[in-house]
Amino acid sequence: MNKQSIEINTKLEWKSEFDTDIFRIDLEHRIFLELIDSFRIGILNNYDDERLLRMINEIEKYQEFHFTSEENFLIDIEYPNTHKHQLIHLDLMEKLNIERHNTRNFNEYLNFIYNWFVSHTLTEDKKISDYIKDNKIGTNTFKNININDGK
Amino acid sequence: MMESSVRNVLIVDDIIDNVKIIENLLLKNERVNTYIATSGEQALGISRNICFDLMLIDVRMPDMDGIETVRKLKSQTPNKDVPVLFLVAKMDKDGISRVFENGGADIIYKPFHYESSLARIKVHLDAFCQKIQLKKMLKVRDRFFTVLAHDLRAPFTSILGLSEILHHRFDQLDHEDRKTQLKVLYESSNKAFELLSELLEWGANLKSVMTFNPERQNLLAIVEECQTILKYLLNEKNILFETSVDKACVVMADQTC
Ligand SMILES: [Fe+2]
Repeated sequence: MNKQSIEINTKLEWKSEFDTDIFRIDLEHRIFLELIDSFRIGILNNYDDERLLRMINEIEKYQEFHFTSEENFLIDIEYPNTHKHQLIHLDLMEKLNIERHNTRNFNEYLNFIYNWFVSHTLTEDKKISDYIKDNKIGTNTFKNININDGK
Repeated sequence: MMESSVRNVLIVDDIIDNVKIIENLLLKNERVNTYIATSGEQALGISRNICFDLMLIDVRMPDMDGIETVRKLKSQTPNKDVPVLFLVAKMDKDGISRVFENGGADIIYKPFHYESSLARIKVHLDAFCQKIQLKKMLKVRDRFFTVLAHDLRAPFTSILGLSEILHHRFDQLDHEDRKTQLKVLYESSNKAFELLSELLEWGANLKSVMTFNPERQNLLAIVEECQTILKYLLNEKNILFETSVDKACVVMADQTC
């Protein structure tokens, strides 16, 4: 997979190729992409180191949450490679950890985390989507979310 | 207490970047020698002749995992009682529960958080070094009691012996003999009492050593004193006692010991 270099002035947009067509997973992926984009904006606006580090913390926490909910989902749909997927998540978290401590600057981290997000959604999570389609499993979790409720 | 000594820390993780992150953190903040390995096998190889003060081991490693590595480190190297901190991903629920079942002292979570990781490492390093220090002090104390018992036995031997003679053969002894024996009895009691007083004082002040004040002493005078103490006891058992000490011989010794 070719690594893309981020154009710091351009918003990180959702692409159709990211879609897994599983509502909840797509929703969480969109939030994750938004978090990365907020980090891009932070760098662009010269936030100080302390504030950018807090944003990295938030990204790490969200990623942990996302992996946990994804693993729960896999168990519920009796996905055959759940354990393998869990191990991949652990490896991804290791990479994230190392990168956080080893990158020389925030720009490098931004590029890493975006490419990391893309590779994760396009490979492993696509396999989940294929399994759901092949087995005609219905997934309704979170489908009723409407953030405009009450307005 | 042991602040000045450099501690030995073992770091094992199959991903060298993780090892380096921890190693740099330690070298920047603590006085440590680090030993690193990227597999259980390698860790065992370098550990055969080294006593560590702390071992940091990744749980999830290919081939030999962290738990197995620790089991072997504890049974095959001189590191049986050394505390182990396992490196575990925060998400790795299975790893976390296995760690505490298998004798892990604590966990360093990944992603690493510098302050809390360092604090945990410091706590266990200090605790282990204090434990070793305490063991050494207990050994010193035991040796001290042995010496003390020995020192107390000497004056009591003469007190018992002389009082026995006085008690059983009072009528057979002339006036001079009685006087000398009572004098020796008094001196021996005094010596035992001095030793006990010093011990009490030591206990109260919790001094780690008893005072030792060596002075120049004439050896012949000391031997003659012993001879006076022993004379009656030896006579009693028909033992002949001869001394041949140079009059001018001087030794450095503490009178109370
Ligand atoms: Fe995902």
